[in-house]
Amino acid sequence: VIRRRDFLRAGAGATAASLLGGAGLAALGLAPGAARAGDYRALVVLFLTGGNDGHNSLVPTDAAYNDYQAARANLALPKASLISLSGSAAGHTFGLHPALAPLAPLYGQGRLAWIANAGPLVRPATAEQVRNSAVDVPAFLGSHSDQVAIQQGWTVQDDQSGWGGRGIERLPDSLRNPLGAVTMSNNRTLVQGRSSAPAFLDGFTIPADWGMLRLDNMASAESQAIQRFSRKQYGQTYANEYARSLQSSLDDSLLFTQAAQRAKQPTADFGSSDLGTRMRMLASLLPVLKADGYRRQVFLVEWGAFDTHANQRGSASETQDAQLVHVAQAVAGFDEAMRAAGLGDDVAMLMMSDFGRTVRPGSGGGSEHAWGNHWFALGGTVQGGTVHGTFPSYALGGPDDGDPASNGRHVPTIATDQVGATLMQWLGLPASELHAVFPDLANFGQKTIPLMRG
Amino acid sequence: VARLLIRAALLVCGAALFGCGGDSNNRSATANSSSSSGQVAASKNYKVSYHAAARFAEQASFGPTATLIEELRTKGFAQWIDEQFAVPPSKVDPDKFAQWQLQQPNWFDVWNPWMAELHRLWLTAPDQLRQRVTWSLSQYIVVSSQRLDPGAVGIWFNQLHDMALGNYGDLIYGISTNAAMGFYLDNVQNRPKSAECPHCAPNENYARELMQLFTLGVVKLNADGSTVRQANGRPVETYTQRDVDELARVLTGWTYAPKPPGAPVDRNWGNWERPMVPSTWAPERDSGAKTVLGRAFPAGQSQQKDLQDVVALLMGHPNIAPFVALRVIQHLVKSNPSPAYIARVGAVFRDNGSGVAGDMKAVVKAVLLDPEARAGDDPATLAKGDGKVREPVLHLVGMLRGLGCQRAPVEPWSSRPMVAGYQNPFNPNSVFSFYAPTDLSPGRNVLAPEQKLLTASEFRQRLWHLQYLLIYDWQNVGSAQAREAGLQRLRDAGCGFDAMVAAYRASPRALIDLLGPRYFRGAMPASLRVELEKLSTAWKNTYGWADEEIVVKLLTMALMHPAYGAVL
Repeated sequence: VIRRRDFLRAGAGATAASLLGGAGLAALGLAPGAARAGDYRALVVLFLTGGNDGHNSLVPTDAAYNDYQAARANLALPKASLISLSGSAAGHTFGLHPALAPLAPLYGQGRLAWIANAGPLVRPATAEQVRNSAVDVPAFLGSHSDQVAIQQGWTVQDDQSGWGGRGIERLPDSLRNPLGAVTMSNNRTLVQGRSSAPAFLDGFTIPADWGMLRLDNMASAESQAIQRFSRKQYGQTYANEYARSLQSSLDDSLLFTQAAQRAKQPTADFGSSDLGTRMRMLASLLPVLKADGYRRQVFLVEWGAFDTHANQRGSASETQDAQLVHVAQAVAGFDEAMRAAGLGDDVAMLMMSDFGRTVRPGSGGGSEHAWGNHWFALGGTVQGGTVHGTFPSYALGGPDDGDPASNGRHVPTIATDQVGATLMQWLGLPASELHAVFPDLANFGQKTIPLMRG
Repeated sequence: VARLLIRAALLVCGAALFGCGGDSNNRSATANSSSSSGQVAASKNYKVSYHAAARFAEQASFGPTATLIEELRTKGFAQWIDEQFAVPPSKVDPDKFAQWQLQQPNWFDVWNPWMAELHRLWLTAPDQLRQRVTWSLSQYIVVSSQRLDPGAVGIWFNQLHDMALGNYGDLIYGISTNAAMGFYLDNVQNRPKSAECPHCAPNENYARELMQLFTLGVVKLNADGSTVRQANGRPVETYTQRDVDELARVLTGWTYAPKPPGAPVDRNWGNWERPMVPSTWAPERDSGAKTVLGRAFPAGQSQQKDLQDVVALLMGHPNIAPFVALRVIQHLVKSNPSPAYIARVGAVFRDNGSGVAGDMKAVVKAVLLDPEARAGDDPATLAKGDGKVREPVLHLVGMLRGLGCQRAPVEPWSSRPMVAGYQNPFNPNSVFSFYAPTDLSPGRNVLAPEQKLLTASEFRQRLWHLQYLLIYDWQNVGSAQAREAGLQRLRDAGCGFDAMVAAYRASPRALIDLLGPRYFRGAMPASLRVELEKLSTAWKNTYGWADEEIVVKLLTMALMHPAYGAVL
């Protein structure tokens, strides 16, 4: 069993450079073709920042389309433009935003599932209870920063850890490895542990060349000096914060660089966006990490400017219409690359966002902050080709609208924690640890949803 | 050898980039560190020590220079602050943003000269305190060139800079009518439902963020910045969705100032230099009665009167004093101030001593002169949790100021000014900026907002940025020609790098003696000094690098040390 700290201590020795060779890896129980290589699972959470409008991502094509069209007015997608999804689910037939067309075949193949009206809940709640303030609800509804913190973490503001980070901390020892929790941007709540920091992966470049030093020559005078700076204890809190940040950046980057040196570029098309670039980087690394005997990882990939209070439709670069093109290309490319590398059943992706948006449009051709939202999950072990949960009504002030002012703010019918628990259980989190990772789940009879096979 | 040392010192002093003041022999500084040997200025009657002045310069400017330290030591902090308040604002020149008003300029053709202008100010402007306060405010009152034309953001900088040391109430009014902000948070499109626009409904974006990010925050605060809690421990929320709905109604009915007849169709479509004006078309304005946070806004009020009432409402809210106090303290002085420090500054926000609330000059002065800010001026009195992580912008600009640069050098691989790539100024991803005041360091849970930017990408940039100016050339990486071109780029930016090379040629110790007063307040840690001497020897013997390369690497390495990575 290799604890992160032991692993890093080994890496900190005079033979750090040998980490980049197979012998060093073997000594740590991680090596190309190692006996335990094979049992690998990774969860990739794609978080669309700003609050993606789920109403315009997944749209009913049966009689409910008329309700949608009436409620969404100038935001409504023409019915003829929608990309049909095969079959029916949750009592409806559905179509996707035309930009999401590359996801429709994945739905048809049973690899992609939608999760209807999901969002943060303290306990099960009906819209009527919410309108009457008769039930406990998450704090700061409508606040971007707080809803991101709550969706990725939980409902207590003072704890900044996330369910991915907490879940990784509580996996059985046999499933622990370095780089267990990873973020690909500065944002990190989901993968932040209670007592452990996530690793950071630069999605654009992870060279061994750091200018002053090379990660593949940690024995050089300059590399040794930097490591002495970063490993020393200082009398001042913020000198230590700096030093530990430097140290973990070097340690984590060493491992990523080592994988990158053996990575093959996927042939799949990820599109030309920053998101596509990052997903391509991730797709190139995962096969190497699996082969080296890594067991469980959670990755947070945040991207986008989906806070579409205005100009949500159209071809300008920051409309939802334009950004969903990049999402679909990057996601479909990633899935194709994972299957091509033989990791199709080892990797699951969850798409989520700050919150859903109001059913009613706002002035300027946009929509406002709301609550429940439609997400998707993708992967070979996802129970795909269906829409999980209960699809909400578009009626303003209707049975799903928790807004006393009837703007169409849907009260979620699936809790973020139920989805998170399902995926962390898939990663190997024991049922006995669920409440430690998802404290509010104690308020729910149903702990998970049937999103994953087996 | 001694003669060489003196010559080197004269060269450096003669360059007038740095006086020879300070603890150039790098003895551990004390409260009396003005008494270093061999200084012309030693007999002066200074009001503060070299160490204290350099430390203050890190809080109140973009970093120490010899001139600034001398001025601070001569005048003392209070007088310097008062004089800074009287210095006219130094602003960027929008005419330098080449062709930004053309229909389709290349984004970088606008952004590059705007960044060059901004860094010129940060490096050389005489109103350093105002520059630092504007940068602080801009980090939580955000517009970003990720959505706006960079030229419009440059103009926003000038407008914010004008308001930064005025009254906070005027600032609220000013940002609320600002055209760039009107675009960035959509208030220029905030319209009620009407017969003319049946699908309109108030756009809540600006209303929400005005309360959440610019004035009050989402939780009720006590006067000392602590959270007001319910009996069950949960925070009391400042406002409800209903308040956001209503405030959005109050803020309806603003539009861009009209442009003169015949003005060209160009990138200045928002008329960025001018504040927004009330729309005169009735359907664009909700003139009904509203109620926000319990305050009634009577029907029929003008847009201006409603906004004045919003300012009065926000300025009268108990949150705003600790809200502003915490942010100004965190940006200038320390990440984790004591509740008492927040309360003291908050009290000055409430009343500047003459019964005026929101006087930002008084607030800034209170922040900088507070005993908790000054406690570390004598290193012996520095508390364990004082200071903060140095943010990327201050790391880069501080380095350049220490070099004496007058402008940001131009990167050979991009032809762009050298800027902090991982805290791209005025270009954050969203209105939530680079970090939040409440961000804890992962795993260790220390309040350390700037730590969020200390990623592998940032450290890597700190390690390659300066040296690549010197060795990078598409054709001849590391060649003598590349090096000469790099030195010329530094000279073109007015940097005093050649003086550092001259010192190094006298002896590595002479160079290290320069770095101590410039970057370490005359108190470079002894262990760092030893490391630099060892590296200097190892590099010379092992690689045979050119002197310039060794100097740039020694400087880079020194600034990687935690004594510079944190501002204590």
